[in-house]
Amino acid sequence: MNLKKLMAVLAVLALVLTACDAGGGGDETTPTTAVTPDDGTTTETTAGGTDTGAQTGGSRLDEIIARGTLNCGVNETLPGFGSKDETGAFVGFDIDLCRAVAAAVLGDSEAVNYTALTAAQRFEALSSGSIDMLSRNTTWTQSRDGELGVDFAPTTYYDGQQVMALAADGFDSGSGLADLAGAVICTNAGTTTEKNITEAMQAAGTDFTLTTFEDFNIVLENFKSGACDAVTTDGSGLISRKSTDEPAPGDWVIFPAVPISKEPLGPGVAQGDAKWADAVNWSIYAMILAEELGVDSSNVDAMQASPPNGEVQRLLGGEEEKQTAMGLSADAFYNVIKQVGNYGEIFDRHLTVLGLERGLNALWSDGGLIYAPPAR
Amino acid sequence: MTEPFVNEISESEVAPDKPSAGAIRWARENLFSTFFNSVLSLLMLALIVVFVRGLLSYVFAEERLWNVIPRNMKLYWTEAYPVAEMTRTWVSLGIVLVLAGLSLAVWKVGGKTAPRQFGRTLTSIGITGLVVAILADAPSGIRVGAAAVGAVLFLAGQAVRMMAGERFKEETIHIRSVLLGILLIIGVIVWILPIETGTKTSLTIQGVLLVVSYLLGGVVVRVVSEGLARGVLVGLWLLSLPVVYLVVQRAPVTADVPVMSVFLPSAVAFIVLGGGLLWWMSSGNAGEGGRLAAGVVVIAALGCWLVSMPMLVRFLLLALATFALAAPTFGGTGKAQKNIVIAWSVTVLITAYFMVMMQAETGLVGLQGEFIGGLNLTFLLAVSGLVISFPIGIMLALGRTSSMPIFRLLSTGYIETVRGVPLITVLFFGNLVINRFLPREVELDNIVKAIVAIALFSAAYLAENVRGGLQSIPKGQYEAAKAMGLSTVQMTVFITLPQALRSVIPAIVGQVISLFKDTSLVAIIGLADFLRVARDIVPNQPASLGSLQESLLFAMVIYWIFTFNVSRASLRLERKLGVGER
Repeated sequence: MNLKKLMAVLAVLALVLTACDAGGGGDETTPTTAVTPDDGTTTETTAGGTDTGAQTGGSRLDEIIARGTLNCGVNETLPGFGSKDETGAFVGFDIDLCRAVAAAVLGDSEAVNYTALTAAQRFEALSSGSIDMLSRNTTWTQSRDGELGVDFAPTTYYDGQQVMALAADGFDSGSGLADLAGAVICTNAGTTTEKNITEAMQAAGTDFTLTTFEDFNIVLENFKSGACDAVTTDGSGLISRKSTDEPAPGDWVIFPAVPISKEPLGPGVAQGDAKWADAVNWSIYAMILAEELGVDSSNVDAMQASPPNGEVQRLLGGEEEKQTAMGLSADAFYNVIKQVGNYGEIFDRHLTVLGLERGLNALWSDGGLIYAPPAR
Repeated sequence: MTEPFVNEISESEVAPDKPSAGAIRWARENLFSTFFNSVLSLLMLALIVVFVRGLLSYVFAEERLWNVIPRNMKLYWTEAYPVAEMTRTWVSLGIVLVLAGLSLAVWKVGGKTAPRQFGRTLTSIGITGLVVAILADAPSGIRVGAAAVGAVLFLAGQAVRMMAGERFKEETIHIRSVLLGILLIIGVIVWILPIETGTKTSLTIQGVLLVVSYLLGGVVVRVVSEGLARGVLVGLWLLSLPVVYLVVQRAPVTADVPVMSVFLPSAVAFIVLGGGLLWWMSSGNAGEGGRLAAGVVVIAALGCWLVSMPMLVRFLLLALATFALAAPTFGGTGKAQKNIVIAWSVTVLITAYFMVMMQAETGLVGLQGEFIGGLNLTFLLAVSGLVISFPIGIMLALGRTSSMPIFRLLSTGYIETVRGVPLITVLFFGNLVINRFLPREVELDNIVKAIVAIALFSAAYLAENVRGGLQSIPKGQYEAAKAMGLSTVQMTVFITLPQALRSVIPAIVGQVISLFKDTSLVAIIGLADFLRVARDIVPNQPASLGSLQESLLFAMVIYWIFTFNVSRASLRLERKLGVGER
C-alpha cells in the first residue's frame, strides 16, 4: 500500500516536472509576427539617404518601412470619405490618403492595414501607437493640436456645418438661422455638431428644439418621415444625402450660404515625430502639386520620361529630387500618382460622384484653398 | 389549435374520423359560431387586412432599394473576408450541411409526411401568394406574377388533397422526396436569379451535399447501431466548430509553431504518464493513494497558471485533473479502464492539435486580427458561447444546490453578480480587463474575448434554468438513487441531471434564442457582426445611401428565420422526450 502511494506521488511529480521542463525549453510567448521588408531596394535607399533621421533614431517612418505595412485608422461609416464596398474592402477619399502615404513610403498602395475607428476611439488609437496615421474626417482644432497631441497634416477637405430643410416649408438657399424659429432640428449625437448648432442658434437669438439620434442614417429617416423639420451636419454630408435621397429635385434646401462652423478635415499623426509627419505631409502635397502641374495617373509615365519642367522632374524622382533627403525613395511620389492619383482625381473618384463640388476645395489657382508649397 | 373545445367533444362522441368539412362549414363552426364571435372575427379580419396591406405596400413601395440586399450578400455573410479565399467559407458551410444531412437521417427528423399534409402546405402557400397579389400596392408585374404562382400552388395543393382523399390517409410521402423536390425548386430559383455563376454553382453544390449526406445517413443507420451513429455525430458536431473556424477559415501556417520540440513531446508524455496514472486510478483498488494523486494533479493544474509554461501543458493538466477526479467513479471494470485511457489519449491528441492551430499565424494575406464578420461571426459567437456556457452553467447549478457551503457560496455569488449587470458591461469588462487575469504571455484577440464574455454571462442564466430543473425532481428520486448505493457523482450524472435538463428544455431554448440575438451587442467593442453590417456598413456605402430600412428589415427576417427554426426544433425535441406529458 505504501509503495503504491509512493509510486502515485512519483508519477504525478514526474508529470509536473515534464511540464515545467517543457515550459523552460519551449515557447513562452505567442510568436511575434516575423517581418521581412518585401522590397529590399526601399530599405537600402532609406539606409543610405537618412543620415540625420537615423541619428535621431526610432522614427515611426523607419518602423513602418521595416514592418512593411502602414496602420491607418479610418472611418467605415462616412459615404465618400470612408466606407466598405460590396466585398468588404475600404473605399473613399480618406482611404485614398492612406493608400497614397503607403505608396510613398512602401512603394505599394495596397500595403495598408486599416482599422475602423469610432469618433470616440480615434485619438486613443493614435496616441497609443496602434495606428500610424489617422485619416478619418478629423477637424483640425486648437485643443486637438495642443492637448490631444495630434500633429495635423495639411487640410484635404474644407468643410463647414450647414442646415438642410424642406423647400415646401418656405426655406431657400438664402435662408438664415433666424428662419428656423421653433423648428425641431435633428443631428447625430456625440460630435461637435450638437454644440455648434446650439451656440449658433443662441447667437442668432432663435428658439429651437434639438433632437439627437445615434447615427446620421436615422437622423435622415426621421427627416424624411417629417419628425424633424431640419437636419444639421457637415455640408459634405448634407450634399451627398441630398443627391441620393431627395424625393424630387429642389425639395430639400441647404443653407446658410456661409456655414455655421469651420471644419478643416485632414489626416493626423502622433505629435513629436517630425520625420514621419513630413513624409505624410509631402505625400499629400505631392498629390496637390501633381494636380497643379497637370500630372495624373494616366500621363505620369510620359511625364516622368520627359518632364516639361524642373518641378515635375524633381517631384517624379528625376535629377535633383528631394525625396531621398526625407527618408523616402526617389520615386515615392511617382508611385503615389501612378497608384492612387492626384488630388483632383481622388476628389472626383469619391466626392464628385456624390454631388459635391470643388468649391473651397478647388486649387488656389482656381480660387480655392488647396495650396501646396513648391517642390524644390 | 383553432378548434374550439366543444368541437372536439362532439367529434369524439359522434364520429371517429374528422368529417371532411368544407371551408364554409369550417368557417361557420370556428369563426361565426355566435353573434359575438362573428363580430370579433370580422373585426380581427379587418385589422389583419389593414396590417397586411400596410406591410405589403411598404415592402413593394417604389422607393425601396431592395437591390442593395443581393448586391451586398457577401458583406452580410462574411463582412471583410478576402474574396479570393471565399472557397473556405463555402467549405465551412459544406461541412455543416453534411453534418446536418447526416443528423436529419440518423435522428429520423421529419421522417414521413402525409399527402394531405403536403397538399395543405401547398394550398396555404398558394393562398399567401394570392393575398399578396390582391392586397399589395405593388407594380402590376409583381402582382400578376404572385397571383399566377399563388393560383398554381393553390390548385396543385387542392389536387393533391383531392387525390389523397380519405382512403389514402395512412399513405405517406417519404421526407426524402419532399426534400429532393424542395431542393429542385430552390435550384431552379437560384439559377433564374441574377447572381454570379460562381455563387450559383456553390449553392447548387451545397444543396446536393445536403441531400447526398441525408441519403448516406439513411444507409449508415442501417449498417451501424443508432446509438453509435448518434454518439459519433455529436462528437463530429462538437469538433466541427473549431475545425471550421480555427482551421478552415483561418488557414493557419504552422511553420513557426514548435510542433516537434514542444507539442509532440508534451502530448506523448501526457498520453503515456497520464494514461498510466488513470489506468491505475480507475482500477478500483487505488483507494486513498488514488485520491491523494488526484488532489496533487488538481493542485498542479491550478498552480501551473501562476508560473510560466506553454499553454498546451496548462490545458492538458486541467484535462488530466478532470479525468483524475472522474476516474474512480467511472472505472472499476477492465473495460471501463480501457475506455478511460482511450478517451484520455484522444482528448490529448485533439487538444494538442487545436492548440497548434491556435498558435499558428493566419495564412490569409493582408489580414490581421478579426477577419471573421457578418453572419459568420454571429454564428461563431452564438454557438461557441452556448457550447462553452453549457458545462459551466451546469457546474454552477450543481454548485448552487450543493451541500458544501464553499461551493454554494461561490456559485451563488457568481450567478447573482453576473445576472445583476447588463451584457454590454460584461463585454466591455471582457474586452478591457480579461487580460489582467491571465498570465502575461497570453494575448487573446477580440473575438475570443467576446466569446469568453458571452459564455460567462450566459452560464449564469443557464445555471438558474438548470437549478429550476434540479429542484423540480421529486425527493424520491434522490432517495431511490442513494438506496441503490450510487455515489453522489453517479446519482447526479445518471439520475437527476438528465431529468432536470429534460424538464427545462423550453427555458434553455429561450436562453439560446436570446443569446443568439444578444450577440449583436459585440458591435460595441468593435466587432462587425451581422447587425452592424446591416445597420452601419451597408447603409453608408456611397452606392447604397438611404437603404437603412431595407437593410434592417432584411436583418430582421434573417434573425427571425433562425430563431423560429430553433424554437420549432425544440418543440419537436420536447414532444419526443415527452416534456409536459408526465
